[in-house]
Amino acid sequence: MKFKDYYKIMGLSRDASADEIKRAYRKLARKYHPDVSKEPQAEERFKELGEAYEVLRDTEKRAAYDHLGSSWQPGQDFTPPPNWQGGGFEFHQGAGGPAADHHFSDFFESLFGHTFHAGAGATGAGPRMRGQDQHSKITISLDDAYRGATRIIQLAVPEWDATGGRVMRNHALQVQIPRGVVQGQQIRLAGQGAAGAGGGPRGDLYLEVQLQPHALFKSEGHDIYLNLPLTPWEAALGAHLTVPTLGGNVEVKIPAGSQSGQKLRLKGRGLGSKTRGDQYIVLQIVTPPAMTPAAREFYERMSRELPFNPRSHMGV
Amino acid sequence: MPDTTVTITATVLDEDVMLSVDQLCASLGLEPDDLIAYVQEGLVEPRGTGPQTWRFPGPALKRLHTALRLRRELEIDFAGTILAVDLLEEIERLRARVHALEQLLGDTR
Repeated sequence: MKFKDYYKIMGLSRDASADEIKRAYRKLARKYHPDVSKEPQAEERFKELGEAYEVLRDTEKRAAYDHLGSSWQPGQDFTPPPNWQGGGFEFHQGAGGPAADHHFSDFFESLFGHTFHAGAGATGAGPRMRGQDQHSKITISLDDAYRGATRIIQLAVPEWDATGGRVMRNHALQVQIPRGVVQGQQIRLAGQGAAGAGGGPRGDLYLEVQLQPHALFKSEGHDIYLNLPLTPWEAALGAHLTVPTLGGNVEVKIPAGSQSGQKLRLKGRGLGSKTRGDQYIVLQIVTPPAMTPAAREFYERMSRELPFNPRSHMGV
Repeated sequence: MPDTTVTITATVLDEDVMLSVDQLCASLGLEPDDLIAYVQEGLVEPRGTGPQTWRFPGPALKRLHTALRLRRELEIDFAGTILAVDLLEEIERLRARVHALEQLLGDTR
């Protein structure tokens, strides 16, 4: 396993004061918090930071860590010293600490024991307790969101081992996602969270839906937006056009005299289950290029025979 | 090999799903008093007359979960947490809108 330099992770010197540690944590936590941050690898950085803070904020853990000495390099192969017993301390998981939800690295666990080693009462032999809920994310296509889909997901779920410690087990699950989910919405999988204790029921699993970008459509909540290119004569004269929707092609009447940027609404063609959102079609007039002498001649005739100043409202 | 033959049907936590105080507290590891405090501050809005009959629409769970995480992990206070949750939701809405508008502007250029 690799050595982790907790001071370096937090950008601190080894003699940093408790106040400096707290300040550094708050500053970096705001920068890398997965709910707030758009930094790449924010989640990973935040986890690392939580682990570093878990050690450095705790005087006992910090003293034990400092005891390893300052000659270790980050990423260097590490095994705890033969007489290592956490520096003679007994460590307790700081219940409710900033990183209580997280699973720490092997390096942390080799020094301070099982992150998830629960206190008395929470183990397999203790009183009956419901398992914790787990939260994760799932990415699906817009088409799957519209129709509903079955997906197989891979999960690491905490289980109790024979000694009452918590271990992460990989677990594949086939999930039926109902139709109509929208970006950011949560779905619940009852009984698929962490194992309960003492024969208690499992917790639930919550998945936050992330929608993949689509080549044609954009979603905004329950509504769908589509950009519809249109020829100048279709816009001017009106037309019946075939328009794609998530539910398949539909015929749409374009009113005569339409302009670029105008929106048409297709009611109930958006996302949702009982009530669906709408699809908005935004018109974009596209002019054919004047590539041939005949096309140029045609445009020139239009300019003569269709006098029109689209900038009259600008006074020019 | 893990057993993948059983299909689990997910419930969408939309406005139609109603969650009780007990359900929310069990799910979030939250004390009822803390939940009541969040209700009083307006983070989540239940239907019903009092904690016994309160029912929360599905999206309340995500708001509470985000709030608890921010409060614990960023060590910010109660009022600041609620403000942060509101602003994050607003940013998410605006971001979706920007993406939609960007596509509409960019497609034919």
